[in-house]
Amino acid sequence: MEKDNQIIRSVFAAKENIQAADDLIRAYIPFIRSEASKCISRFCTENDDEYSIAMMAFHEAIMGYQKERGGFLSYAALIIRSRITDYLRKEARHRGNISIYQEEDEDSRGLIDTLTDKDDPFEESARLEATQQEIAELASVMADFGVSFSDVADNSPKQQRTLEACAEAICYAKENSELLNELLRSKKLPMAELVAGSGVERKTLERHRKYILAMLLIQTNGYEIIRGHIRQVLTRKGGAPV
Amino acid sequence: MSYLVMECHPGYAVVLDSRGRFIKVANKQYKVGQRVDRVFEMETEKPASQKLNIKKWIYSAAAMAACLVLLVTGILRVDQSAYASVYLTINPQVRIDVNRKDMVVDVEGVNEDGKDLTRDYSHKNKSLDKVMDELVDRAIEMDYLHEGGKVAISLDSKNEEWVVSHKDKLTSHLNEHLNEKITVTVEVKKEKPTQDKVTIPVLPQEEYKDSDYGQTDAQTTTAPQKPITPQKPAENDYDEASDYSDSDYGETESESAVTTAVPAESPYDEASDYDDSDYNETETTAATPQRPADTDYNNSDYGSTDYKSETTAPSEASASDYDDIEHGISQYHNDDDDEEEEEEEENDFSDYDE
Repeated sequence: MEKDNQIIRSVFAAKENIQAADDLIRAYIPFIRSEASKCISRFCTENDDEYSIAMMAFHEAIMGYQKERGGFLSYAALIIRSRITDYLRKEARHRGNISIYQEEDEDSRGLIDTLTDKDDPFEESARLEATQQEIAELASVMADFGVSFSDVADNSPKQQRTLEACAEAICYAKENSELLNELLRSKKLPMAELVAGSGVERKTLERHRKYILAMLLIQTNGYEIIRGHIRQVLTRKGGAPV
Repeated sequence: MSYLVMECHPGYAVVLDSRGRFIKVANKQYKVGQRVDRVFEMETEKPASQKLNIKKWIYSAAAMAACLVLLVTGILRVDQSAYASVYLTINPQVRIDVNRKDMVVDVEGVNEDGKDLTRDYSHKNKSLDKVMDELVDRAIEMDYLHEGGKVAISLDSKNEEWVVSHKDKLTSHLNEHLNEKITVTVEVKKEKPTQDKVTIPVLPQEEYKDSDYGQTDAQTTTAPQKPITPQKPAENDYDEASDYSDSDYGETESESAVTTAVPAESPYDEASDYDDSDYNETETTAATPQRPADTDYNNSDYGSTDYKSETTAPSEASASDYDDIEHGISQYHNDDDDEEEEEEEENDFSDYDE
């Protein structure tokens, strides 16, 4: 009983604090893995997709847990099982396809090795490093605003229509760079100008404030790689005649 | 769709997809900065589910509220529905509907004068007594009612008890109110369903007129013996019928005298010989098996009286076949057998039982 209470207490702490959630998940890796193994009827290694699904399900369980839902661990086990089942069902659609990692016989190499690499591995790793730097810098700037990527993900628009509305506001900001400078200087989102300039509903933007913030920060100097990644959004929207 | 991994946690990774969405996905040993082509998204239904909970709560609350409203309106409706009616007849005739609590729910003029009398009259939240007082006062004011005038009240309710309990009460109340300056006559009327039309062999009226029965009418102000038309039950006849119940005939079989008739003075007393007579001996068997209570009055002269036509009072248990009885009065003996069937259909005579 005492132990149960302890778990529940740490779960509720983890709901508030990302770091606490990570710690809790790490502490329960054996439990998660055993649940995943039960589910797929074989030992679950860290490289299995099911393993990561189970980890994610556990995180979801932390966030979704409520006291009236009974014991936390049984609840988490339920979530893990159902997520893995979902995943397996989804994967069943691809069953006919062969994996590029699959090896035909013992000494032949995987299919992947026969594919020619487009990119030079060195160049690739250099790019990865650059990307990492960019992301780390962005994360630190966002931390100044008190926002993490996890927050942004929670705050991100889900509907296509909302996404487009937000993109419109972002494009407007991109074209009016003084807005971005204003943002960096005052550390405040120039919401009024965004609303006035883009014609998007204020409510929509307010609801996705953190997301807008992150996207605007990406539009400021120095995030070419990230910007290149989401170029599709910006060019399409930016290219559209006003 | 390609995804750029932005942040890694043991439980999940945050990726930025090429459409500009940040999403949480299963962390398959990702590294920050890595690009991936396929991800397994975390289900983010928590806010939705919370909303759903609220909605569910609202639904149940709304359902409960609706039930409550229905219940309350139902109760009010019941309260508003007329439970009994009082016909107040001066010359203007007015119908006063009351509910169970004797609160007036409607006042309506029956004839022209009655409409005149009730014009602009508000009965809201008034008791029956008060409304009656006020209507009578109005009648006096409007010159419908003069010194020595007459007020008739008739009560109409499905519940006989109500009629019984209110008859005297209303009379005395009204008398009190009018300070004895006006005569009040009370008639009691009970609501009966219209009956089957069954023709009943009718004997010449004179015959029974001679008998005491004929005098019964004197008791009530209304409708004396009518030319015998059983098809056409006159309402007033009920009253007469009630008198019968108190008569000695009634005593013969059942003690329960439901009606409010005045027992003592009724001419029936004179007829009390009947009790002693063979009536009581009754061949119960002769009476119809379904309703043993029915008496075979039909055949008798009594049958030809109005009683027949009107009353449908519940038949009491005992059945006395007057017909079969040896009785001094010859008329009673008319063709018993033929009419037994008719009796079955007619509740009318059951009043005699009482």
